[in-house]
Amino acid sequence: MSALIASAFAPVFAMIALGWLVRASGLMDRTLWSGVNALNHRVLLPAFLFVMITRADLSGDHVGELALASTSGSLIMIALGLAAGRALGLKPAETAALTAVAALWNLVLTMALAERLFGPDITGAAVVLPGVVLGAGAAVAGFAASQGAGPRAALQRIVRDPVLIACAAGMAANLAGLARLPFLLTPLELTAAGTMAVILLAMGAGLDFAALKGRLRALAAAALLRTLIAPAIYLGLALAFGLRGESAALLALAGGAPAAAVTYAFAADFRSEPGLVAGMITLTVLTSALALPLVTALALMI
Amino acid sequence: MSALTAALIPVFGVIALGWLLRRTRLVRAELWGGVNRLCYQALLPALLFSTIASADYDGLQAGPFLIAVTLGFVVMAVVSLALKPLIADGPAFTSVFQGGVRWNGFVLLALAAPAFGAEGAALAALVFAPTVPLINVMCVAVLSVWGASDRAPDLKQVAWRIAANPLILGCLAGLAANLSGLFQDGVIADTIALVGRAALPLLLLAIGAGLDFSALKARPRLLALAVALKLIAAPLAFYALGLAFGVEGVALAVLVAVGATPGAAAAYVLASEMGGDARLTAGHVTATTLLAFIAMPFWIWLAGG
Repeated sequence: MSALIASAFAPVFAMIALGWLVRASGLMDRTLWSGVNALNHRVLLPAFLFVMITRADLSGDHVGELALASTSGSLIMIALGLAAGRALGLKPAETAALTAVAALWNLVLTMALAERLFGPDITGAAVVLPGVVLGAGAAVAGFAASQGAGPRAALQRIVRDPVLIACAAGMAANLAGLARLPFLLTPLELTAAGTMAVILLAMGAGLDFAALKGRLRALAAAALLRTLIAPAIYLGLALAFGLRGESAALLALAGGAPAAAVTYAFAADFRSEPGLVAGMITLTVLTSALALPLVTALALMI
Repeated sequence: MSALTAALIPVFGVIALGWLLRRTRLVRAELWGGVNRLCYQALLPALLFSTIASADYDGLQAGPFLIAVTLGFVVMAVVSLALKPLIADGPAFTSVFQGGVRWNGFVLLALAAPAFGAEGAALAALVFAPTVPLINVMCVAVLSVWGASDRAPDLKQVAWRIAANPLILGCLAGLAANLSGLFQDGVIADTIALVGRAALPLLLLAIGAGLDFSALKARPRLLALAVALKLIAAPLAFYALGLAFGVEGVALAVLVAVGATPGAAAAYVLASEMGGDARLTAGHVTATTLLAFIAMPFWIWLAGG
């Protein structure tokens, strides 16, 4: 099993390292990556989610349990993020960052690992959909509130977000049975095929080690919540909902994944401490690289 | 639905999506520079490496195929040069020349695996190694003679650009891995293969984003000539060379398809830098990209692919 886990994890984290190397070596500086990031957020990630959700078999095994476990996980992590912010006496913007990082996990990395561990047929729609909608909703609402922007501003940002639009459109397409129309889906499938690699490379390019200086308490709390507490909670939920094997591992991967890169874009939009968020993302990539293989091995054992 | 048609639909769809994204300003024109750079520096070399490293070239006639394909570009250069007396305008001639000899290998690479199987992809990837330097040297030479720029080309810089070309390095590293049996699997091979998977989708989006329909109106007669060179003369020349060198089967189909690929955006970059007719080149790339969806299936069908 350790060989399987090494063969799944090493290339995925190596891609992140490669992206960092391409940027740090000066082969592609930060300004050039902004085009790649725009494409990621507006095209590749929405195409990936749309195809996955449209194709998902919503009547398959354990879909209901997975969705419930994922939903509960997001809600618990939102509550823990808020509570930790209060307990540590953080400023509102810092608490918003902590909550967003605790609740919104990196779904592309999760699905890339799941695909390498369990093959291309694994569908994570039931886990991904509640995670994205609740996590992104909480992140945007938190950043908006911390900057005194009202719920209307948050709602406007949410309904215009390409990733959330793609989730809604994918759900509608699934219910309408559009998966049967190959002419519609094949170009999007080809587009989506590039998503994992490009997003992982861009994640690496976005790593910001300078942002790790200072504010140790907020950073440490984020790493602790994202890398240790979240996987424990998601594994507990898997047990509680009677999920085993691949389903349990999928939840564990979601629980222990680094923070989603898109969190930075949300924070930047509301000018709510993007530097701190960049530091939290960078730190959780590092801590997840260490902890996630162990968490996955544990999930496969139960 | 034939395998080729089934492969053409998504390729065309992704190119159309790229055009739509730029046109609607969802991803604005200036943002595509970074996407192109990522493709060229990292994704495409990775794809060429993993395609070539893991390919089985036994019994694929790779030798005659490579000779025919390389000669094909030389023949096209000679044919294009023979047209010079008809075209008095130097910069416009350089665009016709680039239109005749440059090829967009990645459109072919996207089609090769689904339409011709792993063998076809293996052969198509191999073409880049000898032809990228050859075509660049020929185009730079022609532009330095007939381009409008007064500056002499910096030969050292040109040589360095060819020697350090990431596509060539990817091909050569792939060949070395193939021959030595190293990096066939394991973490490094897996990582490179994963990175390479993103190359074609991103490149096809970027091709779509680069289409410029307004440039189609520039110099219609020269444009028609350059398009005919690329989509009629070139596949014919490659077909004839293939027959002459005894290339057959999948290899012949891939050879003819190389001839019928559309023009490449690299021509536009060179034309802008060295005083070519950049607008004519933009029109040529746009027209051949669209018409290639008729020309490529036709020529592949003719070659029995």
